[in-house]
Amino acid sequence: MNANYELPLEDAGYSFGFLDEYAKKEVRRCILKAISIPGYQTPYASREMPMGRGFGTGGLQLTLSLIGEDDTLKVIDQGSDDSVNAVNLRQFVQLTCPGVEVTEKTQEATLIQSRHRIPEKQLTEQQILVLQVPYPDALVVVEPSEARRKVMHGEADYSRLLVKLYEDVVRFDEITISHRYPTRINGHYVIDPSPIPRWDVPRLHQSPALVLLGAGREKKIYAVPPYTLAEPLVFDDIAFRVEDFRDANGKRIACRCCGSTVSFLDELIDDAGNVTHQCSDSAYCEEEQETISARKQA
Amino acid sequence: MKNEMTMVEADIWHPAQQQQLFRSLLDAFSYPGRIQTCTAQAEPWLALLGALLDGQTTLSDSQDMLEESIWPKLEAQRVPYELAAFILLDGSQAPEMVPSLGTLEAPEGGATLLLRVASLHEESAGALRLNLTGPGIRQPVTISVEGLHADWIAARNDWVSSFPLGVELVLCDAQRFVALPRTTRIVIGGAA
Ligand SMILES: [Zn+2]
Repeated sequence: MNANYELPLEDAGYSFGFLDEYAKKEVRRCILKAISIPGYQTPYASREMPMGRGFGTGGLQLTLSLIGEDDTLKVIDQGSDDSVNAVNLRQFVQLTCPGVEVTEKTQEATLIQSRHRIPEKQLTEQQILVLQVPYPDALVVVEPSEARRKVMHGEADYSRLLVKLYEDVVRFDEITISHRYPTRINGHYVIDPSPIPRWDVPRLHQSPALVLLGAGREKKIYAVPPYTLAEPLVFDDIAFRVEDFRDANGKRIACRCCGSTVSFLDELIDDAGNVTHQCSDSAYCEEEQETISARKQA
Repeated sequence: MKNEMTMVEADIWHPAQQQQLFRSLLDAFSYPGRIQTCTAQAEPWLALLGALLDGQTTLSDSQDMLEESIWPKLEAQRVPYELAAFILLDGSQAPEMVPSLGTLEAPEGGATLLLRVASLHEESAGALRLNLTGPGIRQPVTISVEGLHADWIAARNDWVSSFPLGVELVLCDAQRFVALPRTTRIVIGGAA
């Protein structure tokens, strides 16, 4: 933004990116191991951040360790660039990283920090997606001991997790997990892909963009490298299915704002009790609306 | 002369330069086989060490490739080869010892080896052709390397044979570098 900004060359107090350089190097070394061991929860020494837990400190530490003056950052929370959380995180980065551009347009961003969604627009090799993770370990539902979970992960022993999933199948005839769907990376580690909907899980598979996941409280970083297998855990007789947005007549429901029938929809209920649907990805929805109004003018 | 040398290297100790170097390294690890150009005013192996190391980590330099004056700047703890998180070696000599491969519970303990080679090439014209597949590689790629002892590939393939254990290799020539994480499958000869 300020083109005249100059780095203080010999200043020990240099603190672009808020974190001190030692904290960044720790996170950077951890990221490289996380990429080299796809899906493995790589431990790191997490620094205290000036915001409460649940505000994405794990994601923010990743972003601050990655970001440079040439970057353009997008921050989204549950699909929206305008939520209080997203605005606060974006302002924090703007304050501590002079020179960094921010954007709401997915295709303009080089770095995208997100909570609970992957953008609708296909990411590219020029982009990195950082996902905030509240609970990093998919095995925690079947094994309380972290020491034992580490062994199970190392051996790729997910038999107990599969049994747990199968109980769901027996009871409901399909896997009902709506978020955090256990996903196997490169045929070995099973990850908790953060609270993204099932809709977003296939976007991890063979993604052109690097995906990094950060859990601040648990002090873990894991990665889905580009062009890597990401397979939701399934059984032979029950296929993995993304959310089904069809009405009672089997017709695909459209977004009430932009009319899209290919995006992930949020369900809204107004005061009168009427149910409507709207794109969860607000930047995608706005762009669709702009395209439509441009077409009308033409 | 010495003073000039210090001037030239100065930028690799600067945080903004280290951030850029790290991003090139991130690309190298994300897309194995893509040869990256070192933007710093130093050879890649030195610039990358500067970008990654501090007092919290360990380095082995059994062939004394580093000048003594560099060690205090890197801050890394000097340890024997088999204990080191980072290992610096001349790739033209055959590997002699097994580095740390990590453990089942902590595979991140596997070492990162920076090997100095004569030259790296995108085309398959050089002395040692390496055909690469695996995560981060959409279509199989072939790179070729001059000045890397062929025993390195056989040894490395052995070290990464029981995933998640393994090592990461970073091959560095005078200007460029390429990363070969433990997930990359390397076949010598490769597709021409
Ligand atoms: Zn819409």
